[in-house]
Amino acid sequence: MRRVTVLLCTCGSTLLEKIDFNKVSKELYKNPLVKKIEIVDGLCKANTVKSLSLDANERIIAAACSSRLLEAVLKNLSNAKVIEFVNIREQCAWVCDDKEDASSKTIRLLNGSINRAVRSNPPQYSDGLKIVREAMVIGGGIAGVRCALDIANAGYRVYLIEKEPSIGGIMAQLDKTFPTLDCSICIEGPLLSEAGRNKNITIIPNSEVVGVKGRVGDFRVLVKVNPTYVDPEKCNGCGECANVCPVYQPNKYDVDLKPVKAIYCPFAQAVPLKYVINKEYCIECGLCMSVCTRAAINLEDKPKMLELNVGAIVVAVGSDLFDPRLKPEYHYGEYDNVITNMEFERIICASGPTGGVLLRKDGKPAKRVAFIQCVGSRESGPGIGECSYYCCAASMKEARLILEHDKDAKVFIFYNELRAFGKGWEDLLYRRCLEDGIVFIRSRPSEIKRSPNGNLIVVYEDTLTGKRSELEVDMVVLALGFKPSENLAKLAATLGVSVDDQGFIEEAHSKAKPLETRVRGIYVAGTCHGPRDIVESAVEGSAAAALVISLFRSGNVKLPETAVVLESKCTGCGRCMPVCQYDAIVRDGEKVRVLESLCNGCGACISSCPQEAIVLGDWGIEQLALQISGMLGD
Amino acid sequence: MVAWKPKIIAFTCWCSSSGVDQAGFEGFKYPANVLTVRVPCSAIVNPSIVVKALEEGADAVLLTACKPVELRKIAPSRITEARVSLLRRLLKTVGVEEERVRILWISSNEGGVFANEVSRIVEETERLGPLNLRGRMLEQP
Repeated sequence: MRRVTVLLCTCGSTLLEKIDFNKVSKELYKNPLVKKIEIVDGLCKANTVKSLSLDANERIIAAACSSRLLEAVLKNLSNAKVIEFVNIREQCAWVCDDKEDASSKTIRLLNGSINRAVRSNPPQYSDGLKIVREAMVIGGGIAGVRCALDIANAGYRVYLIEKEPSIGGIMAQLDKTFPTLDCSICIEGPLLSEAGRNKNITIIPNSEVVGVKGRVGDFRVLVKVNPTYVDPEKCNGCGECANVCPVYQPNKYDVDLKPVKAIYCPFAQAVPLKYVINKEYCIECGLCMSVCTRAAINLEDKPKMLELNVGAIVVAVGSDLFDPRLKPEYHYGEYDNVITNMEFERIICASGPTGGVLLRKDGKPAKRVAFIQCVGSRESGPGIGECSYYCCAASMKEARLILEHDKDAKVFIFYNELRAFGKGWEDLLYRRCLEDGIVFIRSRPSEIKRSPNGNLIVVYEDTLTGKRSELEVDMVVLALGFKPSENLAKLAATLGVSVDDQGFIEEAHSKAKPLETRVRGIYVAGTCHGPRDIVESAVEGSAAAALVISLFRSGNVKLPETAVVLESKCTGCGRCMPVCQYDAIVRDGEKVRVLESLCNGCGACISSCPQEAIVLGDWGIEQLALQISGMLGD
Repeated sequence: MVAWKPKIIAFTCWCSSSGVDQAGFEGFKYPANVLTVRVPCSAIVNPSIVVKALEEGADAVLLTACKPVELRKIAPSRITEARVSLLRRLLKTVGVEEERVRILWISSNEGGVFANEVSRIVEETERLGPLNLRGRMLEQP
């Protein structure tokens, strides 16, 4: 018969006056499962534990303080595989007034644990699992690029998956950044080319993740590379092809404002600097092929599938902007001079469609410009309910840019609450805007009307004065909120990560694990898990890289104790599946299986299984029942 | 004469167990007849274990769990809540008062809440009197 050794800790002299250790010991010796009892003055002391000379096969009951304090210490000090912790300090001695009560409670708690310990099995941690020390970053915006660079600079290979022909993301499209009004591409461009040059980074443009298998340390990711009809190995970016191409198409990079040829490179700083063909517009005339000296063009190009084996994945796919057509009162797409803030960025940018002059569609300069904030954020309508974080600062920056280009311009900002909370935002943005005479009006305009001369009339109620007014301007800029990108839900489902009620990726815990997802080994960075600005996206890129690097350096993967389905008992009824909050149970033929990368070891499944076919360490019905009968016995 | 004292089993999840510890740290007192069983998560507690505890002589069973947080989808304690509510109704059909099975939301810093609630539950259980589930079941035809 298995028997246990009980270690009673007096915690120095702390517990001596609260618990009658002699009585406890006398009572416990009546239990035939007890081999010996040792009363010690501190299980947290190395010398004390050493002098006990415990055997590895011994089953030990440690009756002492909270296991939160003692567990790690005692497991380091002794090599015993089975240790049951009984908290006789915080949960017994310290909450009882009476020594007799505390002593009899100690006896009951211990008898329960003794019963349990004889049936316990040494915990089975799946450790020593292999780690593939290569990472994948999905999305090449500022968060993804920063992340890829940091992982690569630590010496690990990174696959950077980008759906567009070039990395860069939204930041590459911006004219200036707030609050300093620095040139955006001048900051990001060098990072992009550094990523392009880095030997540890493999940029895979025009690609998307379509399947993921495996677990932390060993994912197998299926990547679909869409055809570009130009062999990137051969193309040297000379641009001869675009010179002869007879077809124009709107360029996504310039928000469709500045046309490019059907064979094109999205922007001058693109990485990789390779030309691609937009097959929707290509007429297959073959002129490009005739001038390409490197024979790089292949109009028969087909999608390719790659299977990559990586140890960690960082999701940094970013977000889309709200579609202003969903707010018909602002007549975007209908009135020429109602534009989005992204269109504004391209127009005010020196490399944009107007060479940096703020012109309206009719060619007249815009002298009076109004910004409308919170279009698609902080509302119960079609947008997201939350604040989009970046837009107050972005509009103040854009307002200052207008005045930098044209001192006589007049700028109005219709705001709801002006949020200038970031570093330097108060001073460099808000105060300077006030000094420059930018007018802030607290209102969410109800409508934009058009006057016969093409000007726009903003109808609003000033919520500070309660006065209704109209304001005539040349141009209205809509500050668009973020929204989860179109394919995010699909990607999340592919990866097995969850999304929140707004549709952004959900973190494992918003504070304790802000960049981890519910799938171990898959991390997030940037706006794909909620609105944020460039600074925070870059910070998160680096932070996610640190998590990946620490995983790679850790040597091996240790998963928590996870549930296991006993195949011989499982009837495949599937009752455990809806109970699992982590979606960790999947069908496997006629039975079910636990995905250990998703399981958190809560045990909701084992108590839902009518066959008792799922086990989780020592948390079966049998052990709990034994513990309870031990506690309640007389 | 030794007055009868109810025996109460409290299943405490990892997180709320810290809250129970907190009660001790902060010097709160509660009756000694509350016996705690630490489990990884309240959802691991099979309703049959609760019945088992009542059968073995417990006069009431308590589950302390994390309060499901709004907006956070993952909350196994929602499962516990559903099970407990069903179990209470079932027990009522065999004459066991609903108050003998309870769920308490205790977060890891709510030692005082635990001490107060548990003292109240002990008092209420005292008023209900002994359960003696095994005896009752044997009496039944």
